[in-house]
Amino acid sequence: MFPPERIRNFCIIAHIDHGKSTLADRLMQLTGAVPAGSRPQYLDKLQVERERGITIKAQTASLVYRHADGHDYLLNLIDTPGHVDFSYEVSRSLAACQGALLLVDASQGVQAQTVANFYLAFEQELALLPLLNKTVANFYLAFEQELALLPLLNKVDLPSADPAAVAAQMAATFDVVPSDVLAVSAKTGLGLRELLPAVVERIPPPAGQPSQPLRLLLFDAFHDEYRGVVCLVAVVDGRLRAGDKLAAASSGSEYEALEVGILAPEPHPTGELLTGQVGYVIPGIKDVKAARVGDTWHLARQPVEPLPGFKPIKPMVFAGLYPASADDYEGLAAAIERLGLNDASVTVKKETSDALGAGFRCGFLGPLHLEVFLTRLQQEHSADVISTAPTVPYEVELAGDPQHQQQQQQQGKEKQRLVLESVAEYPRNQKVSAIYEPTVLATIIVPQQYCGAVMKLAVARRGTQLDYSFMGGSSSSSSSSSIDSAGNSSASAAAADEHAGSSSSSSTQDGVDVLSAAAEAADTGDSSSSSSSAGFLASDRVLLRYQLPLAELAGDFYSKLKSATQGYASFDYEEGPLRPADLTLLELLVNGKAVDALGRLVPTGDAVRLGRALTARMRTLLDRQQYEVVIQASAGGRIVARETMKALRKDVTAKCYGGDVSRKRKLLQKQKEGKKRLRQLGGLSVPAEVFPELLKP
Amino acid sequence: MGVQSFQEDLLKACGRSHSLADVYAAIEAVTATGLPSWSLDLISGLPGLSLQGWQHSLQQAVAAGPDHISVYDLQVEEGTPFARWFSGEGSPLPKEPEAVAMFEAASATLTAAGYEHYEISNYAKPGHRSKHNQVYWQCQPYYAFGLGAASYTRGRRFSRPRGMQEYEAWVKRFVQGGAGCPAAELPVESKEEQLLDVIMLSLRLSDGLALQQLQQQYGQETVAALLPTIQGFLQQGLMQVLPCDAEDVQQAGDAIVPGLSGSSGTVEVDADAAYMQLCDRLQRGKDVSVRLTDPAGFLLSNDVISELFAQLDSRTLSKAV
Repeated sequence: MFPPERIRNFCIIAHIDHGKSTLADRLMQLTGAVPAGSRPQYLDKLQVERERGITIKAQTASLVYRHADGHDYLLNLIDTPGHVDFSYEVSRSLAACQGALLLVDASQGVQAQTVANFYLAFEQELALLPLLNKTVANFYLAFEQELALLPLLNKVDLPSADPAAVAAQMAATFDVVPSDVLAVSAKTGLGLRELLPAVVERIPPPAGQPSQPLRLLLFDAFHDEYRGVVCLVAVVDGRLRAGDKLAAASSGSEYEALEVGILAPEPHPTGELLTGQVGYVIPGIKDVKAARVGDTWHLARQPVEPLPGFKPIKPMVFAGLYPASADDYEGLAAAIERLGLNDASVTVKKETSDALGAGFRCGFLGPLHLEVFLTRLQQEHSADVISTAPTVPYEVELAGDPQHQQQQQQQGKEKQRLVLESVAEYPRNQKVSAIYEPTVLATIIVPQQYCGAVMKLAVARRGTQLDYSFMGGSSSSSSSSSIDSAGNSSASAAAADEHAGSSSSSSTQDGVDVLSAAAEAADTGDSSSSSSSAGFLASDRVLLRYQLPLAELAGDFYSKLKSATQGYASFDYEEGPLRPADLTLLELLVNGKAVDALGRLVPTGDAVRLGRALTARMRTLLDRQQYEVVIQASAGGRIVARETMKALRKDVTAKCYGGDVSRKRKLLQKQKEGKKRLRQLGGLSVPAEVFPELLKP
Repeated sequence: MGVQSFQEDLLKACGRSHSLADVYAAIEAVTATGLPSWSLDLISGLPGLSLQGWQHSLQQAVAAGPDHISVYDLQVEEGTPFARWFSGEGSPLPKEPEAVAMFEAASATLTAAGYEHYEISNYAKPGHRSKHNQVYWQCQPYYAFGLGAASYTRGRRFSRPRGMQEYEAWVKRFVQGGAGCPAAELPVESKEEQLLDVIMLSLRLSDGLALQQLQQQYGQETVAALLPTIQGFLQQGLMQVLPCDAEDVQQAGDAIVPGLSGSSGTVEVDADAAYMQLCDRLQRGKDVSVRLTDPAGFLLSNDVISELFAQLDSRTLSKAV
């Protein structure tokens, strides 16, 4: 068995596509957990994950490693989700670890998301093992040899690796000593033999108390078809045995530990887990939502101090989901339930729309979560779904009547606020005194030359700048200062020296002074500039932080950001505070009647323009009806746009003789099929496939 | 007689091989022979055709005194020279409102001149309806011979190859196979296909769709599935109910029976009353038919028919078989 001193719990922090899964595969192969040559990216189980090359569910693998001291060590590798929407899950996985491999792709450099996760890890005071993946040369050995390397690029549109620049970046961004950096290539196996000993020596063992009552951190849960809900846990204190009666700190609910074991990486029932170990427990529950990520579990009737950091699920983006044809409702309900079995973070409520009939309002952690859910719904359950435009939870303050208001003010009560999960809930018959919108704090990292474009986009989307700092990269080779379209001269290398002195706009967080370190790095990295290929990493990069409306994220901000920066921007966000917003309800009316599914809250200044665009779009997308149709847009009760569709008057086949009969019948059957797919939208017959277009932002 | 138009410039523009003079000469010849029955074709929707010009052609057609007139709207088929010449913006083809006006003008002018508008595109003096074509519209079987000819025998609709080589090859195979029913290897048409054909073709005729017979042949559920939609079309003025036996008309006396309309003259149609009459007659086992109105119903016939098709889902159809 493994005493805590011979256990190491660690994870890999990396940006999406930087080779984390490949490295994990390699570690498993090295320790014999998985045979060499087995299916790559072993940990990415879900089909959609494989297709998109990202990890969504976090999974662990326990590896046994014989160290140089002759002892066996239990290394628990905890895989973490790789994308923005799941940072809470990442933070809970980190809470189960004592160390992290900080993985950066040498051909891409430091990305915004790694920064975010770095700060998470830093807050938890995890020891960091910075790694440089796919290095060309060991920059701290500097001049002795250049390792020839087969450049294996994850993204062929980016230039080849520039490890020197990236290491300098890492030193600048993470305040690590460059000589601590290990160069590996997960694909070729380079440097991996040094990695495992480093893990043993440089990551501390877990510090729990075997003698204390049981304290478990539940850091993930999933639904298995045969076993029900499986919970991944870290034993912080005490010991867990199969048969133990457990209780969840957040709810008080009690469960029995039917099966206990480790993941190696397949589940292996060992019957017990000791202090410091990481593994699984099957508590005999059917609903995965009962197993709350971040919760503390303990022995029933032996409550303990709950572990910090637990947050109940808070959906950030909502969408209405409706069956494409009315008689598919049951099928859709069943499909959503099936998906929900394995996704504790989706919230589901029933909803009806005048236009679309009976459906569901689902809440997601973010826009990617929504997208992945919809894709899985389509793929795994072959259900045709109409999804309305994503909405965010606005809060609306009601004016109320003056008398009542006075009363409330006297009593010191706050004004009454309504939370809107869908625009249909907007109080049309009451006076609204203020609207509050949820915001996010976004971190964007771009090469300098795109800085202006990003700023322009952020401002256009009602973003407020919070921070601007120069991250540096390689040295003066990029001294060309670019004047962007806004007429601002972005920080060139020369200016960087100035900035290095004053720490005004540096993102000084927790002691990391980015700019001065960058200036240092620029000096030390000088020798490598000549050998580095011109391109992406040769240009200096800028870190921007903005407070943005969450609604913009649920729209197309991310894709606009990517196209404005030719894909070079990296983006991460965290939940921000509510803020007051100047928004108006924009409604679409068909022959005088508002269509609830098409209403939306828009910035007041945009109402007229959007109203015109939407009515025009409706007119082009809809088929003509047998009567005249008047389409209007109304903002704040005022008509701002109008379009007319003339009635259909002619749809006739002139000739139908002998040889024509079969053909004409088939044509009419096709026309019939089209009619069957029509949904009633405000009294109009609208083909179901038109809905997504109508509902786009 | 394929006149198509009584305007010289249009005939030229369309590349027709005859002139206006040829047209009048032909009319004279036919009249002189004293044929028992002859028909004249017109095409509306020709490029460059105005409503005025159309009216002129209609009047000339009436003046020529045929027993039967066919009026077709030009259908521009993809890949034809017409499609190449006349598609897109600025096309000289009449726009939809004009095309509608031309259809309405034909109906008004020809019925006023004593022709019955008995099929969407066909008008006939009493007793001169096309016997040949009615076989098609009444879903009756018929033989065929020759290139591209279509037959409907033993429950199979079959068109012969159009090209000479393919046709000869087909004939050879047919004879070698012992002749008999062509397309014997094809399945007999299903009851569903029959039903759809009956609906589609009957509604092309002013005699309309006989609902009592439909009920007898395809089941009560079938007709029941159609009734709500029929009611809707009655209310929209796209369909009307037809009176049937003299008995009913007599019972109503000299007063015009509200809800039922004759084929001549205009009658105040109360859609709800008509619907009630319809249901009542069905229930009592009496014959009753619905037809598309002229011109509105005819003009939207595809829309109406496909809507009726949409009411017949697989469950209803399976009960009909």
